[in-house]
Amino acid sequence: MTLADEATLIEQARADPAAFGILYDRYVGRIYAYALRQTADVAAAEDITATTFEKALRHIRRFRRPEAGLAPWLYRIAHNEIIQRARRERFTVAWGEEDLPESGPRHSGDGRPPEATLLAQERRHDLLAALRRLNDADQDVLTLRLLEGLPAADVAVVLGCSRDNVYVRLHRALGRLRQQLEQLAATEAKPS
Amino acid sequence: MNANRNDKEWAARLEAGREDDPLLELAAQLKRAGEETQATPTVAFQRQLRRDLLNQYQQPAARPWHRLGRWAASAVAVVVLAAAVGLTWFSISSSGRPSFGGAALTEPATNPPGGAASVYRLLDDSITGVITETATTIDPDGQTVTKLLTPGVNVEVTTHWSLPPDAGPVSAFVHLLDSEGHVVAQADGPVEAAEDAANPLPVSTLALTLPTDLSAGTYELIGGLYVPTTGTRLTVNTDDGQFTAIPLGQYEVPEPAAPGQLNEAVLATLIAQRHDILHAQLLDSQQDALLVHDVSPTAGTTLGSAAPLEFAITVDYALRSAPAGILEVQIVEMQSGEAGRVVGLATVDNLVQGTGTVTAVVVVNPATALSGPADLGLWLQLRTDAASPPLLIEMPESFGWRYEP
Repeated sequence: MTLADEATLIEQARADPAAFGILYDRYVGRIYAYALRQTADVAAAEDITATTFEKALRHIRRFRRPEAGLAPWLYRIAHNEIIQRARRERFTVAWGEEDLPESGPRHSGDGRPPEATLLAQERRHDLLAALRRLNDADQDVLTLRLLEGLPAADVAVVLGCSRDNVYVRLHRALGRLRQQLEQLAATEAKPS
Repeated sequence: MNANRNDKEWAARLEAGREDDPLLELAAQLKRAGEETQATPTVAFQRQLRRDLLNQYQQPAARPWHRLGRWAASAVAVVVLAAAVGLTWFSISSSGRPSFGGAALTEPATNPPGGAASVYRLLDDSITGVITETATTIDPDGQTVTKLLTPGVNVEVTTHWSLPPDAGPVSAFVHLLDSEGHVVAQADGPVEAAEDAANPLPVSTLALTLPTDLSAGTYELIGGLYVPTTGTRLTVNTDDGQFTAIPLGQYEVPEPAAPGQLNEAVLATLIAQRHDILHAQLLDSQQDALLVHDVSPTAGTTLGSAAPLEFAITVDYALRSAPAGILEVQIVEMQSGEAGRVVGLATVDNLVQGTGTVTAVVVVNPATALSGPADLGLWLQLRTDAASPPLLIEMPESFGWRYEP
């Protein structure tokens, strides 16, 4: 679906539930995955997803930039919901890959992960653990641009900054992620 | 500017998926991790939410019938008013005949004496500072027009009137009423002879300041005329009937956006008005922010002095991501809309975490810094110290100057 197709659907969705249904089907998985990454709590992720789409439905008649697609707007609503929820409940995010729900095969055909897969999983585990040690602003920009794969322009809309600033923040956040990975490696290398 | 060019090159390499430096390699690993750990909601959850949403969709769809009901009520009201007007007309045109003894439903008796000559009429009204949204809907009109008000913003209500030839001084008023009929904002002032030769009707232009704490909801704007010496309201004829308080339209104040998320339309209006609320809301967010509060000389002016130019730049800042920082204010020479050479620089040290307002004076000496006519722009950078990469870069596009020696 192109952005132009999506813009047409958004226009139709202002009055046609079927069109909104198509948009919902397209984005519900992505918004849920984003919410789950940020909260590490399935119930919270479901709540945030539901609230995001309810707000989108309520305000779609006033949505002003259909040509930019729905993604930045939905992510922005979800992002704000996550922040508000964190403020309300003061949840702390401290999770690793093992906390993520299953998402496709992680093992080879014989049921045992080959060595390469194990190494990749370990690396990924370390990456995500290091990511969770960063401050919220760094986590936000890395999650949205790299884990969620949003274009920089969309990340700028979600975070309320300029596109250039997204790259500045990315560069800084990656630098700090690298430091965290080095610290993790140093900790693991120490004899217990 | 080298740093900026490097930033852009790095961004281009990131977008191209290159992995030729440690940070780009890390970015690629994160991308892959994102793809490999994409969670999906359960089918039961997706279906239930879909059902819930579509059920909610029926509620707005039902609104046209409420609207039809309101139209029907309005139509009845118009018929009643028409009957009242007819009766009034009948009683006036039948002077000399015995009166039916029936009074007009409205109150023309408040008008100064003068018979038919004492008719005051609203001919035109307009309002600026309101955001109008038009949405296509399935109601009989095919569209819904929503007029949005922005708390804290001034709106200007202009009314044109027809006054009787023997009218004394009159004043106009506008009131904004909340859903319970309370006046939440008001303005009044004299109706004056128009200065516009093309529209010589008596006119009133009133600036209505909306409270900053105006809560979300529906509001009604009413207006009318009164005698300034007595405060007595005058009955005014309009196309819709006679009123002492003329309905001038319904307006909505939208729900406030969540922290860090400003309603775009509201934002545009606030930017246009350069209102302090915009600064307050942005500075209240949990991110670093730089906002130009004031500049001198006025942005957009053409400067021609050969003597050193002094630019006083006042900036509101929010520093959240570091305990302390510095602000660099640069005057840059614009080249094809992009920031080019730095022609003047001032640094404000010792910013502390939190929010504040600082003024930097940047001196640009045309004799040494500029070689001829130039467009000048403003470039702001927030850093932890002079050697660190910027925490935030802002180039407020609406602040620029032209230098013509």
